[in-house]
Amino acid sequence: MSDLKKSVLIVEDEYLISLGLTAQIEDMGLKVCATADSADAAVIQAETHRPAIILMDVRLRGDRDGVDAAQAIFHTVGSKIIFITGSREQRTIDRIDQDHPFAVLFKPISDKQLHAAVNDAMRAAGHA
Amino acid sequence: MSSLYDWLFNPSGLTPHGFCLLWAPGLITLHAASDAIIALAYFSIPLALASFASQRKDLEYSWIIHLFVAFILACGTTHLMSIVTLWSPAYGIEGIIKVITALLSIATAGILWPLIPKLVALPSASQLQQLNFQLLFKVDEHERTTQLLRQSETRVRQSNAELERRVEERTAELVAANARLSQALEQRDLLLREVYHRVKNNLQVIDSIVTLQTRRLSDPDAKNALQSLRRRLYALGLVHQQLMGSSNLKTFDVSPFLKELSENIMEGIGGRDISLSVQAIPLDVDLDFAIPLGLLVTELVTNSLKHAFPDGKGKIDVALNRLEDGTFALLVSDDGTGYDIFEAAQKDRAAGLGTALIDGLVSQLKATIKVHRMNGTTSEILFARDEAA
Repeated sequence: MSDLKKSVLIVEDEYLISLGLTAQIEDMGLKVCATADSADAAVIQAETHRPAIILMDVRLRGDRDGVDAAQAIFHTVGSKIIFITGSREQRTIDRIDQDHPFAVLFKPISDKQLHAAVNDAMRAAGHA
Repeated sequence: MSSLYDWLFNPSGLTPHGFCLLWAPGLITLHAASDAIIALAYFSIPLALASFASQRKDLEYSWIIHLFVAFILACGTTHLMSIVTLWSPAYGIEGIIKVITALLSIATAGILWPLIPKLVALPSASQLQQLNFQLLFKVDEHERTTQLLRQSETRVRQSNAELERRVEERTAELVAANARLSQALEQRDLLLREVYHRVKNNLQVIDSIVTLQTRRLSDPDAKNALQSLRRRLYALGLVHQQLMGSSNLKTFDVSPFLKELSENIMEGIGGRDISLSVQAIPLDVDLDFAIPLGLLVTELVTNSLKHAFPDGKGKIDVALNRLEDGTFALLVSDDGTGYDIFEAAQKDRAAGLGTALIDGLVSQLKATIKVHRMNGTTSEILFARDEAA
């Protein structure tokens, strides 16, 4: 995992939420390497930037969702994936659980939840 | 042996009967002819009777016919013997035949009298015909009844089949209606989840805008005001998040909600040493109740954090209890320096908004609020169970 960079990829199709998450991550003193608004863009950005952490929204633009993107990235890049979902539906949660999530956060996400999940993921990725 | 034969056919010294008639040809002819005709008739009648009896095997007392046959045959034979005795003196055999005839006659006569009532009792042909007719009528009637029965049986079977068909139809309709209802319910649930999801997403968007705005501000009062706004937005979002996770999409248990809500507000403690404890009984609440309740807890916990701990140390308790009289008590207490929120409101216009919100939300919940200042500050909000339902 040491080849992964101490940065965060934000995958979120809602521009303003993406912007807010970027601000929150930067306020933690971390770098946001890129943002993506679709599963395909997320895979490309993850392979390009090889971030330690990906904040992954489940609902995305296009046919494929965040669970599909995470599946692909888990096998090729191996970033720690923190799912951010608005849904508490069992179907969605079951799909996420198959997908080796590092953490699952439910909207609304408090600063505290985000900080805790991101810090844990950085430690797990070897960037204390 | 020859004497018995002579006695039978030619007793000595006797003359034939013709001799008595002085062999007068007229008398001889008259007797012989008459006896011959009688004998013929007497042989013919029993033959006819025997033939009748043999053809009618169902006759009751047919043996009496055979007795008649024997008796008349015997009579016929005596007349035959009268002809024989005109020319031959066979008076022995004639006498024996007469004895046989006498025995048969007396037996027939003797048996016939007592038989009369029984013969009378036998149904006559016309009676039998009438009976037959009645029987035919009854058979006819029976057949008609059977036919009616069969018809009504057919009708019953038809209406049974009709009934079964209708039941099947109705069942199918009900199943279809049920399926439509289930589908409608499923669609409703889907729609509700979508609505909650969108509300939450929009709140998240607003939160992002506020976060971005906060970063660009340098005025600490303005930053604080926006942080308060974010806490209130979080309370609204959390209600929708809980609703989405509930099985009926209408109500959820307030206890984990209060815990998560209070913990989020504690993010504002900065580096201070302030602990939080949440003790809530399980209570199902709906959107209309949860929103004012969540906002109230947000304001009260925020107030304690802001005003109770000037030395940066302390403890906040959030509790929801059920009192003996059935009312519910929401308690938000701290062990800090007792503060007067109204005093604070006069100094700080932002605190003034919090106070106004508390007053308004308490009245929206049809609750009452009491503030105690003893070893810190305790806000006690009492509300009735009906309001929570």
